[in-house]
Amino acid sequence: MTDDHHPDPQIPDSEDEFARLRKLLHSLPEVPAPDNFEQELLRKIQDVKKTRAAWWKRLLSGERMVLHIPPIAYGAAATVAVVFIGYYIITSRNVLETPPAPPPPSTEEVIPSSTATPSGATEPSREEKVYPPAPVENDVSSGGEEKAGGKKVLRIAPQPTPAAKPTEPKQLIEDTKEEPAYLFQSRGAYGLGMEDSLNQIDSLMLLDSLQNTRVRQQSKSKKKLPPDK
Amino acid sequence: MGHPEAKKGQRQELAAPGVVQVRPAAERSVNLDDWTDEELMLAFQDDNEDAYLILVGRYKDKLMNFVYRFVGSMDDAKDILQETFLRVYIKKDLYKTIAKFSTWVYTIAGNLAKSELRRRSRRGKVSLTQRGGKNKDEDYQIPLSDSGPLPDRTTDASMKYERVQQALLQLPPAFREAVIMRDIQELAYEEISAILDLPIGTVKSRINRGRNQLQELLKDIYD
Repeated sequence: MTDDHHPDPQIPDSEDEFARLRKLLHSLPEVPAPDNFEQELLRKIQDVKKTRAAWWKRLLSGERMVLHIPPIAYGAAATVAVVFIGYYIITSRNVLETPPAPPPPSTEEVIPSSTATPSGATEPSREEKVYPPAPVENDVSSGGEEKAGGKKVLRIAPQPTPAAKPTEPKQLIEDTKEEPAYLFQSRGAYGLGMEDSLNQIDSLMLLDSLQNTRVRQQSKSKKKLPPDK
Repeated sequence: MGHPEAKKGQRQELAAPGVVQVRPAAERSVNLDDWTDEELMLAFQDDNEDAYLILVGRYKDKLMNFVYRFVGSMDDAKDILQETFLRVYIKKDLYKTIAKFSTWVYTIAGNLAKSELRRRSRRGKVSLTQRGGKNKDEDYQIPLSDSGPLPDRTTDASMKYERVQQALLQLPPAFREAVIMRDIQELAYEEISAILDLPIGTVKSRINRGRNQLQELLKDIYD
């Protein structure tokens, strides 16, 4: 190998410039390895071999390995376990709070899927927001009906109907306007699971008030009209 | 700083080291002492421990000198040397004949020596860490030498050698390493370049700057 090759002409070859320094450095006495260096090295190698062999022997012979675990490791393991258990409990509680699958949306009445906001504008109902539409066997979006077991069953129309249509449910919608304030507060305070539960409660309240309204109207009509025969 | 393409070219030159010539086993003499380092290493890879001992005998003094000049402590140098040969023993299968054995073993020793310096600075053993250079090469430390007598402190003449050693220890490690390899170990630029995994231009630059600093530190010795 030659040292003449110089890839960078910017850097001068300083062999001559530093000749005295190089001579001085070269004259430094050599520091030899200790006399017993090889013996010590071989002893160290034997130690390493023994350690490795012992480890393998213990592993292969199935001997129980005694591990010296520091106490801090136990503490760390316990902390990790507590964190995992806590996380599991919190997660499972959230799962319990979420409502079960919604009941099939078949009912004997057609319930519009839109509700009116206090300002009068229409917005999609909560059912539409949360639950996916049930599989439609017949097209009931325009008030379709289906015969099931000899009874006429109407399905909930999944698309919003105009709010201007004066039907019974409009009254119901007006009822929902007066939703108690605590419900809104509780919605704000709790998470999605609670909101879903409230949606279910709302649905039940809706059905309940629908029935009440019908009963009231029927009793009014009974008063006005002569009973059918 | 060279042109990026030139630098890239030099890198490629480093990435393609020359193939080390190894004679077929039939052509080798019976006496292991006549074998090249690489042939001995191949024999050692075939579990010939005599080959390993010959390699240790060939390199122990050279490496001791290199490590001692670099770290400035006999005890540390001895430990590093032992660790170097222990690694050669344990990791023998990692050696490939695409590189010279000397390059491989100097790389191991140099890396261990640099790790020792870093460990010292973390432990606070070296409190005289000086910074302020333009780049990381110029950040340097002044390692403390052993409290015991240095090997070359026995005579008046050796006082000069101790001065030189102390001056060497004041160089930034990157410069010190290159200067020791070139001016004390007398390695070729190409080999230093391979050991340090640097382009030859960078190696020459480091040697040049190290020599400049050393000359400044040893000014009174010349006068």
